[in-house]
Amino acid sequence: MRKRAGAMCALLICLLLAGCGAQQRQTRTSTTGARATDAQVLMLAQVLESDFRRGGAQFTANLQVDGQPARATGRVDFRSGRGTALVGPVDPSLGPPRRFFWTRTTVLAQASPGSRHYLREVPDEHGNPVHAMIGFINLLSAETIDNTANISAATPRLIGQTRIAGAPVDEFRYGRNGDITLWILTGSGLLRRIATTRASGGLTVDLINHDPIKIDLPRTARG
Amino acid sequence: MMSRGRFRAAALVLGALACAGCGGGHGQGGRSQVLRVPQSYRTIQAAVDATRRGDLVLIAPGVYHESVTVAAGHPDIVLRGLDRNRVLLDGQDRLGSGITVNADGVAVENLTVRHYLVNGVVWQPSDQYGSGQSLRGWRGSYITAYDNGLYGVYAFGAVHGRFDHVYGSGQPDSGVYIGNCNACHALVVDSMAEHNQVGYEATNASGDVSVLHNVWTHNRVGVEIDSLRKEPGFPQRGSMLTSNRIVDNNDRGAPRAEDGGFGAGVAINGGSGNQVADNLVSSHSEIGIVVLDSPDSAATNNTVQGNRLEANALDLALETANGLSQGNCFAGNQAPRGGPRSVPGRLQALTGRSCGHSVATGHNRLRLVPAPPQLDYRTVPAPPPQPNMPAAATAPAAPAVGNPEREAVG
Repeated sequence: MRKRAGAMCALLICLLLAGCGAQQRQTRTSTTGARATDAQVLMLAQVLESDFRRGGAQFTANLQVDGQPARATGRVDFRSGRGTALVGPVDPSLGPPRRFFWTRTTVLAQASPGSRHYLREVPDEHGNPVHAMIGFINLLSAETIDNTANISAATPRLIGQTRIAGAPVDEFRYGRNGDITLWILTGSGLLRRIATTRASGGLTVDLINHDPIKIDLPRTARG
Repeated sequence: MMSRGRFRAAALVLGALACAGCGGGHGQGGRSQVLRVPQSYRTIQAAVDATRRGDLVLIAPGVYHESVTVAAGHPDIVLRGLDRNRVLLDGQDRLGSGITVNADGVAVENLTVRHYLVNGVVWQPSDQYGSGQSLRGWRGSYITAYDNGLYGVYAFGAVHGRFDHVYGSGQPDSGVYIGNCNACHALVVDSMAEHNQVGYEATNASGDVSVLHNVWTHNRVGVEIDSLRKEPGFPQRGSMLTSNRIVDNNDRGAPRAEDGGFGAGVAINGGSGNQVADNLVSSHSEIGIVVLDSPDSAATNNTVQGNRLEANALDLALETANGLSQGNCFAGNQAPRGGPRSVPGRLQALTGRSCGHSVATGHNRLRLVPAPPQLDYRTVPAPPPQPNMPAAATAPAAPAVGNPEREAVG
C-alpha cells in the first residue's frame, strides 16, 4: 500500500511551504521581476529531480534557534534521505555546536556537544527549528520531475541575475506571498541556494556542490 | 510515381478532409473552420493560434515535436488527429508537456502524446492560484499517452468534462488524473491505464465524479482517491467508482512516484462519501480495497459495496486513526470462497448485506510495503495500437461545451 498519497503537486510550493492549501487563493505579493517563461518553469520543475540524480550535496544553512542566529554545515544524501550537520550559534560565545544525524523518519541529536552518544528524537518540524531545517533539506530532492502546471499556477518570477561565490545564478521567487526564493546556477540548472520566509526567522540553505554522498549513522544512538 | 493503392488512399483522405468539420458549427458570426496540419499550418501550435470558437484543428499522420498550448483566448475548439496511432506528438524527452489547455471548452481527440518531460495532455486554467476560477468544459477522447515524466492525461481545476477511450502507460505518476475541482461534474469512461505508478488517481476531486467501465491493470496501484491538505480543493468527498476492472496491479515494470505504493487495487486515502461499487478487484499482492485516513483527514462515510474480490492477498481493509468505523461501510462484497479476507482479529470487513458493522483497525496497522526499485519511465515499451475514434476524418467538431460528462460517449 502507498504510505501516503503522492500526487506530484509542485513540491516546492506544496510540500515545503504548504502554499497550496486552503489559503492558496490569497493575493500574491511576489510582483517584482518578470513572469518566468515556459522554459524557465520547466527548469524549475527539474530542480529537485536534478538534486536526486546528482545524489547528494554539501550544504550550509542559516536559521534561527531560540531567537539567535545559528549556522549549520553538513552533508545530505538525497538518495537515502540521510544527512548530518553541525549546528551552533553564529556567536560562538553563546555555546558550542552540536551534531545531528537524520534519516527520513528519525533525528539523532548529539547528547551533548562533543559527545559520542546520540539521542533519538521524534521529528518535530513545527516546534524544533533544527528539525524544521532537516525537514526542509529532505524535501530538496525528488525522484520525478515536478509538475509545471502547478509551478506555472503559482506565477514564478525571475527576479534577476546575480552571482554566488563567483558563479552566475538566476534568482526566482514564487509560492504563497512570494515566500520562497531560489537561486539556480545558470547553465546547469542546479539549485545553488533556497530561502524561505515561512520558517520562524527565515531559513536559507546553500548547496555547495552536487555529488554522491554517503552518510554512516552513529552506532551509539539511544532512546 | 504514386502507386494505384496509394493514390486511392490519398483520394479517400482528401475527400474525408473536405468533409471534416461540416456542420456542427459553433462559430460566432460564421461557420466553424477546419484548420489542417501540416497542409495549411506547418505546426499544431500555429493552427491553434489561428482558431476561432468552434473550429477544428485536424492533424495529419506524422511526428510532431511540439509542446502545444491552447491559450485562454481560444475556447471551444477541437484538436483531432486523423489517426490515433500515427499522429504522434513526441517530446523527445526534452519538451515539457504535449498539449496544455488553458481555455474553456476544448476537446482533444484521437492522437498520441509520448516522451514529454512532464505531462501528456493537461487541462488547467491559466491562473489557477490567483483567480480561483475553474476551467469550464473539457474533453479528452481516444488519446494515447505513454512514457511521459509525470501524468498521462490530467485535468486540474477543470469542471464539466470527461475522459473517454483514453489509454495511458509508462507514467511515474498516474495514467489518468483529475484533481482540484468541486463540484467536478467529471466522467472517466471506457479508458485503460497500465504500467503506471497509479492507473487512475484523483486528488481533492469532489462532487459528481464518475469513473465507470474502465480497466486499471498492471500498474503499481490501480486506483487512488486522495484528500490532501497541501493541494487545492481539500477536502475530497463524493466520487463514484463503479463497474471497473481493477486487476493485477503489482507491476514491477512500472515506474514509481515518490512514496508510491505497490500491490493495491483501490485506495481511498482520507476521502469522504465515496462509493466503490460493483467492480472486479482481483489479483493484488497486498490488498484489494483499502479505506484509510490520510495524514490530513479522516476517511468517513465511504461505501464499498457489491464488489467482486478474487485472489487478493487481503481483500478489504479499513484503517482509521481512532480505530472506529467512522461511518465507512463494507457490504455485499463477494469473494469466491468463504467471504472476503481481512486481517484476522484486528480488522474485519463486513460480508453481510447491510452497512454499519465495520470494525476498523488503529493507525499504521497495515504493513508498509517497500516499493520495488525505480524504473526509467522512458524504457517502458510502447503500447500496441489503440482503437481509433469513429469517422475521425468526417465527424463534425464537437467542442467540450455544455456538459460533456452527460453526453453520449461515442
